[in-house]
Amino acid sequence: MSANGHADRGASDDWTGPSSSTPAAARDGAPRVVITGLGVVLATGAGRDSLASALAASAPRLTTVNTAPGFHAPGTARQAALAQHVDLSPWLPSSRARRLSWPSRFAVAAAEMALADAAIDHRSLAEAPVAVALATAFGTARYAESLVRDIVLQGPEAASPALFSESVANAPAAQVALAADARGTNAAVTQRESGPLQAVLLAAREVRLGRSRVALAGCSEEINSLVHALLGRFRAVAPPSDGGGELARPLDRRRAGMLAAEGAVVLVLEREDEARARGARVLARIAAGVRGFDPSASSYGFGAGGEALGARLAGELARQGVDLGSIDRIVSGASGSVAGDQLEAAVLRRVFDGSVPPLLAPKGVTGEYAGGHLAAGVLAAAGGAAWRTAGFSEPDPDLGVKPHDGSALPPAKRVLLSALAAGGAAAWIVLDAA
Amino acid sequence: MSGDHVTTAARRGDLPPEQRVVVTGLGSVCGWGEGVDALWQGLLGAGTAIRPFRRFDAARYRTQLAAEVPGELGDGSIPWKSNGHSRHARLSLADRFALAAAGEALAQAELEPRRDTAEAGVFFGSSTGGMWESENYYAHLIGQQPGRPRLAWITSQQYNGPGDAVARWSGAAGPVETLSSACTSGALAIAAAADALREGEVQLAIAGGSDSLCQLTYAGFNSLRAVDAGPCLPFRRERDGMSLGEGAAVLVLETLERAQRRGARPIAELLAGASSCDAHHMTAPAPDGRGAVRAMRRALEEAGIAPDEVDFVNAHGTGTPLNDAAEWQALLAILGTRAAAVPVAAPKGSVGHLLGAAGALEAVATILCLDRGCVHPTPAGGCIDEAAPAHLVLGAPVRDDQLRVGLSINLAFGGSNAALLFERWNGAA
Repeated sequence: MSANGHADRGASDDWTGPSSSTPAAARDGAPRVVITGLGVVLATGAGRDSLASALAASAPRLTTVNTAPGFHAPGTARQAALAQHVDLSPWLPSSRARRLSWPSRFAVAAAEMALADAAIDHRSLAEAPVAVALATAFGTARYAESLVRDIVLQGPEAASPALFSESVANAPAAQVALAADARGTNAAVTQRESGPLQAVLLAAREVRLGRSRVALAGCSEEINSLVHALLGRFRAVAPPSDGGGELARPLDRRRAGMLAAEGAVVLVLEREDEARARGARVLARIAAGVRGFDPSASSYGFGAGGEALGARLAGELARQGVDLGSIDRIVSGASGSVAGDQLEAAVLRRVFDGSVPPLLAPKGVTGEYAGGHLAAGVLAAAGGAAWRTAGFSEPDPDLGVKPHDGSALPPAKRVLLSALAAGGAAAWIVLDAA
Repeated sequence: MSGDHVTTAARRGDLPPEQRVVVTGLGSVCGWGEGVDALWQGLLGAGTAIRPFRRFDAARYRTQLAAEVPGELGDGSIPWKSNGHSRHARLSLADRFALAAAGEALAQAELEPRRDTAEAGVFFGSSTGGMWESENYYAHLIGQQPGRPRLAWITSQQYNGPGDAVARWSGAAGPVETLSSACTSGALAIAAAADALREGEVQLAIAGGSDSLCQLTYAGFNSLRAVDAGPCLPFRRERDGMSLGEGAAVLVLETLERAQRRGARPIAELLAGASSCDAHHMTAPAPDGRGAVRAMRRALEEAGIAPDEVDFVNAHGTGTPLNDAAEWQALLAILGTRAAAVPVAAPKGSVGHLLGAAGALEAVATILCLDRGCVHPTPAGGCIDEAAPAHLVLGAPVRDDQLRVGLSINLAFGGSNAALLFERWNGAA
């Protein structure tokens, strides 16, 4: 600040990019946004290699949820893809971690990992306002529950200020901003299963419009006993099967629900010209983004608006110059949800008219909510191998869509990621191989 | 003068109609009741809706006041009957507030839900969604309330509940985006809607925010000792914290091209929406307001106007010692020597802090000031803080038919800042 109290133009925290007053409605001239870093903290481990290995092995890592509070209804799921066993210390000192909620820990570690993956030095960030957009469906569930529990059982005077300040949905995004000195837009996107893709689209817009040179985007989630039990009571998670397992079976005839997951996935986004200029390795390019809504959905379930959603997706892709025939891989948001997968299949049938490209469905391994599906999509666009869908063995004739069998495929050139949310929201992203 | 510190770009008025965003409908629900007229009359009256409330027993809390939505709409025990849709019985209070505000806004815009809104997008802010209902469910679940908890109470528990409810009701098939960045959520949602309109993703947007009073936020802010025992006193020396409120506010936004095509009368133009993060502290703003400065500066740049052109400011003005001091520093940095002269409105003294809906309600208040040529007053009391000597309009409105540009600011937990710039619609495209 200058002596007269005015902010100095050109000071390190005052970087402003190209004016956005000429909006990017004319996308032809808009800068292209690329992904240069990927941070992954999931039940399968830290780092993208651990996820790639788990996908290749079609092997989810399940943990029994703490059922001691007695929230779980009889016959409902007891397992989830929990991530609290993952060693975060290389990215987050334990002294700092202790003061953070689990979603904040996951998010900060994944963000640090993503920045390291992108070879971006922290010291360079203050000069380029960094946008942060992180999605969550349930927020910092454990802190919020503890706070409410203390209020209900002991009275309001028992409410902890430390719990409260970390109980807000934007706590992970704010903690990432503190860790990365990120002074651009800071947003928590709370749109259920579509949130991670929506967060990426929001962040990409900040970069494309020149508001930020770098953006950190993705998702952070926590599955505590209460959230898991409630998902079970809503029959959203796969219950124990005859064999005793709790497999999510994306697109399978016997599917009975999803696998709930926690952890975080964070991407680094940059303008392609700037990333290339600094010699960054580009994982994928964001070619298009589409969002829609199915008003036929209930507040907690999926609707039957596949035709309309498909029409919107096809129309928006055409408007954005994406030829449907150029899409050679789908990373599906199918989770094993009975109605959700039905809607997903209806959308794909509508868009691809019977010739659906090879479809990968990672949520049998990654589970739902923690952003693993997003990370799997980036891996697919970055030349990753195709994998067999965990939990799938028997096609559902009512769907008319089945996942790829796991045989070798040429590297994808253009990948469509899909994410349909309970409640009606939908988002899709098209990623191009770099 | 500080206009030389802002690089102005092309003015919005110079842009083609499909890239200009106008407001064609407003709706609100707050402590003054349902409707924009109730809000405006409450604000003009310079009284406060912050008073003892019914939602839950506040006897054991440090403070006992809030601006609760009055009447049937604010009574959580009354099922929502709108549209005769049975699923609406499962809506949270925050959902119901959102629907009431959206209904009013669409009516003012002369848009029929479903018939005219099928391609619309919905952009909403909420900090707690259906937390009040969840608390009730949880109290039953752990045996602190008699009877079995019923899942129907929490089918719309999520943060995205209010925005989804509006989308479902209106039949919107465009993007639905909920942002939960604490007290900037509503403003960020409006800014996101503007981006989607300018980029051609939608031509019509229903944007706003909604939150209801709940024990988590009431106890939480009290635990931080951030709540004033009396109605809050923004920018006053005696200020001792915020006052909580509840409600919703909705703006119908559309491209000027669309509004013209259907013969709609714009109320105001949304010149710009911008945001930033302090990256300073989880709950305290940067003392020099630098994050808010960045947000305001960027909004001015995107709008293509100089700081001198800002005719009044709708401040975040929570009444907490730290917020108002930082906000004043930010205003000083942007407005320079005019900072102490530009009229400032602080509606939280009247309607309390609506958290995730605050940015939206204050946007509505800003637009009303422009449209009606009058900066609404903030309830009087105490003395202006010499260390933050904002030109707070106190007691009586300042009438000024020349008001043209209003700036609305929000600051939030986590260091998030947002700035919205509106211009009175002068009838010329």
